[in-house]
Amino acid sequence: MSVDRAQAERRRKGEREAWQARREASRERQQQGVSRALRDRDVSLLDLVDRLLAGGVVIHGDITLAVADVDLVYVGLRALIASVETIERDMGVSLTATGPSLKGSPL
Amino acid sequence: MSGSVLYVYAVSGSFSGSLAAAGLHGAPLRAIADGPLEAIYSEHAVAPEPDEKLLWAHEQVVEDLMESTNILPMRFGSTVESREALVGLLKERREEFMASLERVRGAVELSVRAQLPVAADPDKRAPSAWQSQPGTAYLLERARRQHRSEDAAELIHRPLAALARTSAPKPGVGGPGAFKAAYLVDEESVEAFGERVGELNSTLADTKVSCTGPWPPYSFVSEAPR
Repeated sequence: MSVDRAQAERRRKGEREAWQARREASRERQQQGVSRALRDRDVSLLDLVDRLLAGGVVIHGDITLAVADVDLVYVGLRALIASVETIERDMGVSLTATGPSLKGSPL
Repeated sequence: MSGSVLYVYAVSGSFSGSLAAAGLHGAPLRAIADGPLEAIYSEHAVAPEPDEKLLWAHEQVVEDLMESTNILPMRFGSTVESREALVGLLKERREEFMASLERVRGAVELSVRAQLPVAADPDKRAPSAWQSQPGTAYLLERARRQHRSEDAAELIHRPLAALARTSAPKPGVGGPGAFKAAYLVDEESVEAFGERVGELNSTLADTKVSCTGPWPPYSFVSEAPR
């Protein structure tokens, strides 16, 4: 039992260290102005918008950007959206269209 | 600083790290606790409006927190009126937040987008063939779309899902052949996931699979569909 636990602890420690090393590497890349490990800058922007405005914990009643208002937020983000429209077209994703992608993620 | 709104970045389980980094507009980060939960926030005179810079600033705060603890990221623009309201939120939704924190512990979110090649449809070049049979045309088109989404699931989703703890299809995908999903991946599997994306790109001709992350688990903060 205690052997199991010791092993588990060692494994966790190893995982933690590997994770921190990756984080460190990713931070260095960011500092160099290079996008993160798997990231492509423009696609990242799409994913960022997709997550921060349609994902995350919602505070019911107190939220500034209610889900229904996301389209309005997008109107305010026209400059941002204009810069990613090309990517959307190229990648066949619809972010700015009628906004179904922003009506909340399924989970 | 006497702000009138509290902007919330994340909810975490007993947070012990330091809050060195500044929040939106350089506002200092603060933490407030209720029982086993903490909320990380900053004070602002007015609720911050989203723009590209602030979206990244929010993301930066959440990612920094994620390095030292297990967190649930808040949606951009989540504000409360007072510290009391924030404590009330933590108290009211403790059970939900604790369960969600447990579900995402040790994992990160990876985002995958892909565009599968849309095969040239011979029927399209000979519309007269089905103009007389609109019903047939409709069914053919439907079958083609259905087939395409099955392809995406088979070719892209399945091999990636095998490396993930769970996944969430992301809505709003555009044209035929477009694929978008989020994967909750154990920290130690992130590298393998990236490698598999690379394999997909080299084995699937004419298909571009792009993966971004690791993200905080924005798409996995709650169990029930909203």
